[in-house]
Amino acid sequence: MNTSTIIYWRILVGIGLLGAWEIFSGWTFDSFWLSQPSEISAYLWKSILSGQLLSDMALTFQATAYGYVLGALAGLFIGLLLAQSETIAMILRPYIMAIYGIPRIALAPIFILWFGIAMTSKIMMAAMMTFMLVFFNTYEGVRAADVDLKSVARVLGANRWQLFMKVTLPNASPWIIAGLRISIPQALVAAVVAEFIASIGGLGYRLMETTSSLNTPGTMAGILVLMVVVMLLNTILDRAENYLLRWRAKDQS
Amino acid sequence: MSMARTNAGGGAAAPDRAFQPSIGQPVIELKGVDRVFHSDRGEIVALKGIDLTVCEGEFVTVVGPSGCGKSTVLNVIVGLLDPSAGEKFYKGKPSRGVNRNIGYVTQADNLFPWRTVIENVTFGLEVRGIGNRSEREDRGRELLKRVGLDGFENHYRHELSGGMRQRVNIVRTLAYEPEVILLDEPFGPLDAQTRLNLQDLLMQLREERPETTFMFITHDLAEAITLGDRCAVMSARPGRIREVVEVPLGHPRDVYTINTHSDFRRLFDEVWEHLAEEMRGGDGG
Ligand SMILES: Nc1ncnc2c1ncn2[C@@H]1O[C@H](COP(=O)(O)OP(=O)(O)O)[C@@H](O)[C@H]1O
Ligand SMILES: [Mg+2]
Repeated sequence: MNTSTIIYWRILVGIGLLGAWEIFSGWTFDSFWLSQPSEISAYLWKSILSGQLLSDMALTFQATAYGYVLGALAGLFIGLLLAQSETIAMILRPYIMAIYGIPRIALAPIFILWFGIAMTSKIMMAAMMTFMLVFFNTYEGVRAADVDLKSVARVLGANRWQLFMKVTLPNASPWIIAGLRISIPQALVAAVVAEFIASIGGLGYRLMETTSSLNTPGTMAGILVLMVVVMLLNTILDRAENYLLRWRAKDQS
Repeated sequence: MSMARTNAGGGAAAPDRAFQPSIGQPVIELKGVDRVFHSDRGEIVALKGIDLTVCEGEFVTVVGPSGCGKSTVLNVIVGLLDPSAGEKFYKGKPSRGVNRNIGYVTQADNLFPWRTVIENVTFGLEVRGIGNRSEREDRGRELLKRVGLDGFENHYRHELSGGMRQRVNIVRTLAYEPEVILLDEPFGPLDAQTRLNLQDLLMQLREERPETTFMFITHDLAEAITLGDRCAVMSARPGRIREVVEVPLGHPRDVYTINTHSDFRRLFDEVWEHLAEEMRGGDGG
């Protein structure tokens, strides 16, 4: 099937699903549970006009962005550092595995305790989430570097620094980029979770607030906004990754 | 392919060229070199008492049963492996570690997959800080053209066939003009015609760079005799140099017709006899 036919059907399926939701919610079961597309869009429109949606988004994205940059830099730096020495890597291996095994969301309450209910705890949650993913991927990527390619580079005349910059790093780049990529939506989730638990604003806060006041359209609107944002981010990141890793063979057409 | 050259005369020597290699001082010397590998299954003695001298401007070919330690010899010479025992000299001085004067065309192509063909080919010049970017690329392009790869400068490794990859691998080493060039079965994945063309290119390079020393591993005896001034035959594992056969076929050599030379058959049979004995004797001998 060609692309335009597929897009046509995609839109059709979307309209069908929304229509079914609109009809069945309120007819076969109480629309209180799932709300309805019409109610949700009315709520969305209202919160756009009042400026509330934008200010919630701004709060959450700011925390996500700060946390992401912080966590990514720390993850890259420490990942590259620890992967330099075989001995250090051997000693630290079980600890790194143990820390990696912690369900990261479970850290949210203690972060609130440490960093308070304002911006800092959200930033730190996003940073921690990003750090874990970027650190682990960087570390594994550097350690998986191809020994033969390194040997060839040495024979061709590369010094230690050139070996690192021109062989180890590009060789690890698929891992590093994957880490940087998967951690962006994860950082957003972490910030939202911190807002669930305790905060004074943001998308997560709004989700909690609307649910506890039994405002289902508001809750569904919040979920919808998060869904769209994560989808957009993933699309952009896919493009970026494909461009940066264009030297790799594609298995699929 | 653009690198084919018209051949004057049917004889072994093309009369339009008056090249004679001038063999100089020893460049590579191995004295009683052993190399042992330790693995989970125990020790493997790959090399036992290797004695070998290769002089400046010389072209030495190496043949031997598979697994006899040919690649290991080159790894020791270039310095990626240390000898377990024995001595190694470069231009008369003991040498350790990777020797940057020695170029090494490995058996596997080992191209950097994140670099394009031209970026692979200029890597040696780049890390050595030779020339500016466009000078380096001109140099690379010229050599790529000589191996029939013009137009492929911006391809990545995964877009090339096995034979093309290997040609890029060869050019990558030729580009920065090392004093010594080691080649480990470099023409393995190439078809017969490309193989001849590249053999011819090597012979041309000897004339252009008479000081360059070559060591060339092959499993093709005809190739070993076509290219070499001497042909070293290695024994089955543990590898030793069983015999070094002089190849007095003269210069310049025309790789397309050298096999019609009256001495070619005799030399081929001589090398073959040594090799056959090693293969038959196997571990017993
Ligand atoms: N890194 C290594 N570790 C263990 N054994 C090795 C290693 N490299 C080579 N060998 C062994 O040494 C012997 C010689 O190998 P090699 O030099 O590759 O032979 P060739 O190139 O003549 O086929 C083989 O038996 C091989 O298994
Ligand atoms: Mg080999």
